[in-house]
Amino acid sequence: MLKRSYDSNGELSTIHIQIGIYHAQVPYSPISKSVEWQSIVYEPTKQSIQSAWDDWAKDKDLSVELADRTDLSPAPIAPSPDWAAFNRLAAKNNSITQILTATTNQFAAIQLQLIGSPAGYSVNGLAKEDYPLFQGAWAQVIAGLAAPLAPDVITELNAIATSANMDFTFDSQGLIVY
Amino acid sequence: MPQKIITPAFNYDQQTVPASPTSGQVWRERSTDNNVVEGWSWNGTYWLSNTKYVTSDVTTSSGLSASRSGFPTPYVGSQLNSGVFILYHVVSGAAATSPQDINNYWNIRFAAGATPISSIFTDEIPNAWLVGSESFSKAVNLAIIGSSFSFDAFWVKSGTPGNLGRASQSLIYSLIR
Repeated sequence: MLKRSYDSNGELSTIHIQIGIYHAQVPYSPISKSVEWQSIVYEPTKQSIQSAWDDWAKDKDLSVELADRTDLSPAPIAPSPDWAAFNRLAAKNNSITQILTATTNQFAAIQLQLIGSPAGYSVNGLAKEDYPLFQGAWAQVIAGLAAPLAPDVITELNAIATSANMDFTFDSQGLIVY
Repeated sequence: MPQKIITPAFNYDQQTVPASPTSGQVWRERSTDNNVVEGWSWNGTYWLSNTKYVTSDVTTSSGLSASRSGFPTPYVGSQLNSGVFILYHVVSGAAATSPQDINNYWNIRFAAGATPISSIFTDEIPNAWLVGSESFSKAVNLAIIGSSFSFDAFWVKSGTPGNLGRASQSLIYSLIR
């Protein structure tokens, strides 16, 4: 049995082969992508590992068995939402200003800013448990508008969210989804 | 009166590496000035030194990982394949806060590797919850070739277990020649 280890790019880095109850390291070179038996100088060690390798490798396609596994490479870590940037961009955006001014639900507009503003000054941004409050307040603001949001306004909102690495988007009605 | 024959606890007592060992044989290595350097036993693939220990401690109350990086082997064979043979990985921890129970526990993952090569995942202890101080060990039996090594124990939460008050880990290993 073979134990393979891959680096963070999914490239094969080390190979161990089972011999009895233990695993011996096969002299695989990730640079040449081949087994370099000559690197084991001590003959008894080389013979032991090579014998186990030959038994295992019988009838196997090494180009498949020793292939890199880029599918194992971890996905890049998403950057944290930048609530300070989001608040700045929102405050400067004419469409958002018009939405907050035009909505008949001014209580929701104030509540939205009360929830969102402090997050801009917190290292951790908005706490996850407050997302439903922020989402709900925004939904009430939208519900208080005389007309649905135009598609280009929703595109603007999503551009702001993307620019600030927010972990939510605005759907076709302009509502927050996360 | 028949003379009592004392069988030595080693098969070889010499400076040079024995050329054709068989499994279970023991070599007492001597330096050029005839001092005993190390005791080695042949496991069929490697000469393994007498057992050694290395420990790493984490003392922070919220420590979720214990690691020891770049511990060098005190002795590396000059002309042979060399490295460490990891026998056991041992971790211990003490619960600082509750809960620690069947629904709120830790999965302890072990990794080791020759630095700077990326770590090799070696094993895992699942469902570990701490009643006071606990110790867990895993047989590894893995050879890692190189001259400097690191090993890690990652405490991964399942549910919402309380903090660890102390965490430490030890590696029980032999040198390889």
